[in-house]
Amino acid sequence: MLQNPSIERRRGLETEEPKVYSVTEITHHIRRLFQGDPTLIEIMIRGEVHRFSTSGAGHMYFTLKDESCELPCVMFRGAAENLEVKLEDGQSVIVTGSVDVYPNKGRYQMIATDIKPEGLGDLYIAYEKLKKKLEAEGLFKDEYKKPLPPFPMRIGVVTSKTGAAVRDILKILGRRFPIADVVLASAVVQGEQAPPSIVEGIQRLNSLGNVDVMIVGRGGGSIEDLWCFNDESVARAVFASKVPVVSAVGHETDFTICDFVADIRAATPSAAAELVVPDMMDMMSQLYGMREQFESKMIELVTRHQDAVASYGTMLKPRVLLDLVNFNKQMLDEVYTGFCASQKHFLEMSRQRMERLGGMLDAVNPLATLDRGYSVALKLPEKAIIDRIAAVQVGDGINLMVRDGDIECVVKGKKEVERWQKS
Amino acid sequence: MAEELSFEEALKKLEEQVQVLSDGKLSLQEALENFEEGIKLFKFCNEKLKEAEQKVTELVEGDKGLEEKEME
Repeated sequence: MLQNPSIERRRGLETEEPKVYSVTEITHHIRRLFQGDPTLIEIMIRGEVHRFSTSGAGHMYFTLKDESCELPCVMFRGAAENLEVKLEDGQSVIVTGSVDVYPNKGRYQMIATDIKPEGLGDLYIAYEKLKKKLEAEGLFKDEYKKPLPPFPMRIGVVTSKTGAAVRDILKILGRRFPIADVVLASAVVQGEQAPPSIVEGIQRLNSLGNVDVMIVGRGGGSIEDLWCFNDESVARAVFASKVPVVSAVGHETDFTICDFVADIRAATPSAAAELVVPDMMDMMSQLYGMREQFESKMIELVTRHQDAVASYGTMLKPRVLLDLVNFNKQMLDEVYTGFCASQKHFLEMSRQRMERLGGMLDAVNPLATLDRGYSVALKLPEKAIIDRIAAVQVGDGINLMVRDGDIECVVKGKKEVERWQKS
Repeated sequence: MAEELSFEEALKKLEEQVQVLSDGKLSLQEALENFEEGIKLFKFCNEKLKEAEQKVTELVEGDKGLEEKEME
């Protein structure tokens, strides 16, 4: 039973129709295999440098050898320019990089990104291991980086009392921001005693409780000299520091573990001093700028009030007052005219409404029947309607309402009569 | 007032005063008070900057624990 489908396919192809690959196809296939293999990517290889040369374009070529094998290597200009060691044939080195296929020549080669002398190999392995470990623990994370105070009034420095670093730092702090005081925690910054000494310095400055920011570092030196800043205890002390730490070790090209853990990395001690404080001259001009702004705003405000007062003054002159009165009179006129017009309109509306209501009243007026010859008899003196003979006695006075007036009568006699009724 | 402030606080206050004045919502009386305060703050900051002379001390182990000793 075959496990590998590609072998299976190849066999199948042999018996049926053999597939013909181009050189490019196969080369690219091999290249993909290389690039997919973690054993070949970002690795360190130990060997001896042979046939070292530099091309006109600035790339470096050499062959890495051991007792039995050779590996062609190239280091491109960008990386080669930052390389600290000077390569020569026969030198034992540790090369960092990835193995890749060079398709044009059909061979594989190492693309080197860094080269260290062999003597330091073990140190670098330890460095990489510690770096990975602390990174995995999260010590380099941005979320732990503390911001630097904008105006530190007390600046701590952990470095050698006699080194070049402290001189550079004091010179720059004194020039840029003499308002701040400096507290030096002198430390050994080289050799075996260095790590505990640096750790103590960081802790002492923290224990003071009034240090705003600290610079931890030293001037340039050999890689071994700077090695104490790759110590785990130093890294942990920097991480634990409540006071923000600016790490300043060696030169621009030196990267230490301390740099990664610190709140900010400065390329050099001088750069650290520049980073930590503002420039007093800038501050002065900022301050004077603020004052100028302040004054001009104040002048503006006063001028505005003066203008207001001046304009009140103008308003108080007789001519203006008269204008004001006339203006008000005119306003009043307009309002009155408007009022009269609406009043007239209202009256007209009311009259029309009354007429309409009067007509409606007419239609139901019981006295309208008088026009047709009917009359209404009212018993005097109470003017009660007489609708039956029992309502009056002989001799009673009666008022008879007709169309155009009243007739006064006296009852002479009364008798019952049968009237016609519809039912 | 200004004596108890740190340089940073005074500078921040001055900035605020300028801002308030720039907003133009103050009465003349308030603005004058604000202005006077601002000028005081300015003088305070300015003097701090001018008269500052850096003091450099070294941390040393003394009789009573850590001490700061003036350098040079």
